[in-house]
Amino acid sequence: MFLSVFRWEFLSGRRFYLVFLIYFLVLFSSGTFTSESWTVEVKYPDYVSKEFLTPGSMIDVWWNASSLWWFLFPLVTAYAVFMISYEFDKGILRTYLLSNVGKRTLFSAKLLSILLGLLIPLVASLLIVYALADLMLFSSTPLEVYVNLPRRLLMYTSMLYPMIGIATLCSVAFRKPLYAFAVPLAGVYVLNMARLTGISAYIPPQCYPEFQGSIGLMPIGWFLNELSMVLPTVVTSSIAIVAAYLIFIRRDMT
Amino acid sequence: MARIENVISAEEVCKVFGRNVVLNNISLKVQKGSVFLIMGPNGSGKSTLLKIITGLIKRTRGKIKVFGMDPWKQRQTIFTQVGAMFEDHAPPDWASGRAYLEYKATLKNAEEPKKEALAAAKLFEVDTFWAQQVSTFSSGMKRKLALADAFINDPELVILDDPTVALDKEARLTLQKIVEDRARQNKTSIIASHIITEFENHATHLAVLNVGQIIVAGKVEDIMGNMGIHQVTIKSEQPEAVANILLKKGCPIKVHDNLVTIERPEDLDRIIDMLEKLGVKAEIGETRMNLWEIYTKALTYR
Repeated sequence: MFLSVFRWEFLSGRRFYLVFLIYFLVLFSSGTFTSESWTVEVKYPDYVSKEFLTPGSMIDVWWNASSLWWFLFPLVTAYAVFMISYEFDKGILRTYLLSNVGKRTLFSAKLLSILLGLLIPLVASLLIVYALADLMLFSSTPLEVYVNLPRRLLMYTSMLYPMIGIATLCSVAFRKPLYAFAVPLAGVYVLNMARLTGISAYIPPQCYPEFQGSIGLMPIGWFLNELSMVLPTVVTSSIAIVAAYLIFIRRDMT
Repeated sequence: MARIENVISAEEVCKVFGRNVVLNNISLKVQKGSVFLIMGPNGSGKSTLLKIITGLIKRTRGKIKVFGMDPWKQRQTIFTQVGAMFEDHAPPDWASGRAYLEYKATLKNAEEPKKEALAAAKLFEVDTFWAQQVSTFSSGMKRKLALADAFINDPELVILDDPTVALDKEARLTLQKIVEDRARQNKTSIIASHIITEFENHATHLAVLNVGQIIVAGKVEDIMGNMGIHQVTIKSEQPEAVANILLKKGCPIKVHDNLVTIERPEDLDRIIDMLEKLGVKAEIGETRMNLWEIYTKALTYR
């Protein structure tokens, strides 16, 4: 039953992830206009070269620094909340529940389809932007470029996950769309003010030798530090999702 | 004597939303094979009662069993035998009618979802327009889709909340025919409506709700008997004599040619006795109340 419901929710539902795909593509491709360039010393066997690079400018999103991120983020949140509200619309849920499907199955399938609806465009846009931009910038091989992808994906997911959790809770708990929009937005801003940031720092492949002990591109310590900063928001979001689930299971479908 | 099988059994069911008592001590039994009509004005609690029966809403107090099971706790199991539609049926507007029905057939554990969906669609000719997206449907088409949805798998019990709103005449007749056929097959139908005339000839049982309470409930024929005779017409060659006798008794009457009509007589047997004793020859005809009149009277004299 779960697979049937999930397939319907993900493949037959509103394909809101297309909007996210466009969003991420624009976001990642526009970094050039929002970040500073760095001077990097690249050591070659017989000489040292100073190169003006824009590390992360093409690809990285700086949670705090990017004005584009801040400009677009409320819009994306609004859209996500709207879509989640639509997915948890009582009328549609009631229509589905007049059958043998369980509430648990319906909630899980919907949530999973929403999460994948974010992850798939994220992966797609990272693959596209890396392939298009990074090679041109750093003359890297695709293998070197993509080696950091899983970690970047984890970083970005950890930034998006809080939005999903709070938006889901608000969509289930509030009847008024305004609250369902305003509360997650306020929540995410507050979390950000508390410096719960997830910065995905980028190091060009030419500089790998400079960072001893790194996995892929980013030093392990740096990576773990970033992840630990994100952890509270991930926990908060998980609590929000559990709360949304409990409300959903127990409430009347009036 | 054959044992009466109750499909639904409710005892003192109450539902409170905040401070608002929506249902108050509702007790009723729905027998297998019956056509149970639930009538009541807007806000009387019909839809809430049906949502409790279908397990969408949890009752605040009381007991309710559907096929011997608690609908709130065992909704999934109950729906192997139940089909339902509500007034505010809301299929996803991005789906096609066909995809939606096939998906619902899957959710209802149909062995062959596509075949079941088609069979249900054909009942109301939904298959003639089901390739379109639901967002393009008219309200009548949406209602037909909702009805087809309720009849997927030909369930033992069908619950229909205001099913005829926005339906064309052909579809109404089709629905009446289906309900009639189902009763013959000993399958149960519960229909909530405030438009009574459509199922007047098919209803075997009736419950009238008002302000969350049951005013009248039972077999239609029993209720008709209990609620009295609507009108008695006395045909006599001496209408003036009859009229005088009745006026002396304080009965409101109408006289037209040789017909004397009495509205809602409360002591008809005494009137007949009196006419016989006085030697007035009269032919007496009765007009019984229809469901609409019973409904109106129930709401008036509650």
